[in-house]
Amino acid sequence: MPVKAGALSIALLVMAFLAPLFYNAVSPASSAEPQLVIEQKGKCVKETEYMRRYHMNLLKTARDSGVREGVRLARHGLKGCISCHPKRGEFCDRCHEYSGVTPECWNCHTYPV
Amino acid sequence: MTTRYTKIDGSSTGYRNFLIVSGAVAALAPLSALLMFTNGHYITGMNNQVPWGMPIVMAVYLIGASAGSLLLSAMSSVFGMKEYKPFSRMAALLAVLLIVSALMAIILDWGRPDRLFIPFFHIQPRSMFSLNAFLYSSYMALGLLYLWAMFNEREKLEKQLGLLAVLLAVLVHSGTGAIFGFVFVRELYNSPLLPPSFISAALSSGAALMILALYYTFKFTGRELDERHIHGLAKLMGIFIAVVLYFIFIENVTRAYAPKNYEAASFLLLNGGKYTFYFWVGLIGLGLIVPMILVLNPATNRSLKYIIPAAWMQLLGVLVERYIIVIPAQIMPLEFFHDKEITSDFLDGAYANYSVSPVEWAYSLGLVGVVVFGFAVAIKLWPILPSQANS
Amino acid sequence: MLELPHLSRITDIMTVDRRDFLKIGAYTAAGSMLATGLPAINAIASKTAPTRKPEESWAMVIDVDKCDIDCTACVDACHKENNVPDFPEPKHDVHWIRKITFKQKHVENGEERSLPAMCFHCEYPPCAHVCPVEATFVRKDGLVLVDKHRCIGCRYCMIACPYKARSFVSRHVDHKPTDNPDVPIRMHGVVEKCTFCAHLIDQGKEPACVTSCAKKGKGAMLFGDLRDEKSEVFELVRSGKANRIRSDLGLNPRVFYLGV
Ligand code: SF4
Repeated sequence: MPVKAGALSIALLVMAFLAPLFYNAVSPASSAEPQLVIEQKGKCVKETEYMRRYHMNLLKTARDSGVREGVRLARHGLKGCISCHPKRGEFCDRCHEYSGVTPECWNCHTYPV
Repeated sequence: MTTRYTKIDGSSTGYRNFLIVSGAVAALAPLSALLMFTNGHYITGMNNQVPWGMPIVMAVYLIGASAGSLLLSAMSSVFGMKEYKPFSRMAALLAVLLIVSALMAIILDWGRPDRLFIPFFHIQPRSMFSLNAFLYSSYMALGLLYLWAMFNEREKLEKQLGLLAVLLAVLVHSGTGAIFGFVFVRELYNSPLLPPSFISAALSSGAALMILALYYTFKFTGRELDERHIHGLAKLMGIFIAVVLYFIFIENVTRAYAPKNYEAASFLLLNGGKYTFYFWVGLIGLGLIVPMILVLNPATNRSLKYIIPAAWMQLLGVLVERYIIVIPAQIMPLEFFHDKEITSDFLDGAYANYSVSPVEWAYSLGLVGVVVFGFAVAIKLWPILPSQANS
Repeated sequence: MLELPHLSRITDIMTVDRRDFLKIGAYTAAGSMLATGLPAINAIASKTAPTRKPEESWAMVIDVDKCDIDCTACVDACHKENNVPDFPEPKHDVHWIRKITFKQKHVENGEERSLPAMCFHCEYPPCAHVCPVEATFVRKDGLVLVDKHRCIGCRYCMIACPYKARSFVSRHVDHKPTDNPDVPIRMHGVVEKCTFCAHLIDQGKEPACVTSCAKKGKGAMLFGDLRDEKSEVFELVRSGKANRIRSDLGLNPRVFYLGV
């Protein structure tokens, strides 16, 4: 009896870990890649490919140097993003929703509407 | 003189019901922590005047009991006191469970428990908290290893690990005392005696805990208990209580001697309302002196009828001691000028208010539940209890 | 963490002991290197244009005789500038700066006077010393700041601060249209306090309380750089007339008071 219970609980655990896979297998294929509205093309601090991959690192570095050193890297911080991409819903949120990440920036920082 | 250990059978309905009840109590801790995390700490009794409340009291208390249990557990292997051998496993197990529960108490009380790993990436060697993060986690790992060595009857390894564990337990609890002792801006915290007095309180409450754990598990599992073990533990408990009393005495007298501390000392000892009451009645009277007399007086120290209540009193008395250490120092207003009265709308210069809120009660109860539940499960899974406690 | 040389000026002026042994505590947090992406560092290195000079050492001098007991200009300005939330219960309310009323103990009908108190940005800040994750740190120019991205909300700093300068955010805070967009609001679960308006200082302006006191109050607050020997704060500090609160603790606060 204990053996059975043990096996059952392990099976349940494995199932729980694999649940996301199952979920994705049955749910319809995700919609097409998110489309961003970018008005001023080519004006960014880095090329699009780079930004797509590493923008969070830029933001983090700008954050840490601004908060901790007082060196405000305006172009690389949130303010820099906002200055070219006025609509958060058409910029940040699109990809973040698509990739299922929820950064905490806007809980505290203000994205002017 | 070999001791045999066996698992408990654990098929009775009583056991199952016990598991269900203690599991439900244990679940209170994460649930109330979730409430604090989602709502913010305004639902607790803690506030900007009293930033540390019951969760920290519980954490300090549990760490103390853990260090005490581990020291007792090592008595047989390290100090060669063979009469304590039968319950060294039990004590080590309790030590691990208690430190787990204490870590829960600390971490889930943070405003941002989701930032759990930050302390491991950003180290601040001047902060007792930062050092303790490493002390506590290595202590927990060492405790587990020590248990493992015991299960596998690796006597030599057990002895070495035991010695290490004793050193670490002393460090861990000194570190806990230093969290408060180093805070030099509050008269009621700042004291070099806090670390050693924490250790002696750890030992006395550890002994009390062990007496109760032995007594009740043997009672419920129907094993035969040799009362001599309890007598030995009770004597230890009495001695450590005397040491605790000595530390408290010295600390308070030293503090009260300096005129700048008159206010703080008299708040604790004379006119602090409920805190003075807790101090004299809860801690000194019922928590320390009465149990000490019960276990040291030859007329009473041979009978479980007196020892068991004495152990309970001591166990709760040390909880009161932690409360007395953590809370009143925050109730006292901080002085801006020694010779001027101050007021402001941030409640400067006024005695603060703190009462334990329902959430904190649930949280504290849950932390105890975690230990009890873990203990009940573990004695079924591993051979921890001696099949017969006579040597 | 604690790099004394650039801070030592405040100590020189007051000629109190230097406590150089504290340098033992100076070290580098290698852990923080791990957390930052290397590509980003490369990307930024070339275009960095520091907006501030590292050699500043800020201080404030407050003339208590000029502080009216019922004036709250500094408090209002600060709470507006920094989006300081207003919680209903006083015991949970967040305070960055507050007006303290004081009078002599043990005398009858003592005269009541008042002074504004905020974070005093100590040279040896106990809050930063006890913070387990260095969320509270000392900036190069002497400001003691809380990195709210890092604070875990353990509240050890509130225990260690003798001035009650810190508040724990114990309730949820929402964005309001009236918020100052230059300063973030906060999530509950972190500790916050006065920053000397670091965001304004970095733009070359003065803290909001000082500006407002000059405009609406009697100009009781002075702000300046102790390295600048021509500045008014330097003069006042050097004159020896300015005191610090609880100087017995030896924390060397950066806020000086005249007339107490
Ligand atoms: S509450 Fe935040 S700032 Fe204060 S000591 Fe803890 S981590 Fe540091």
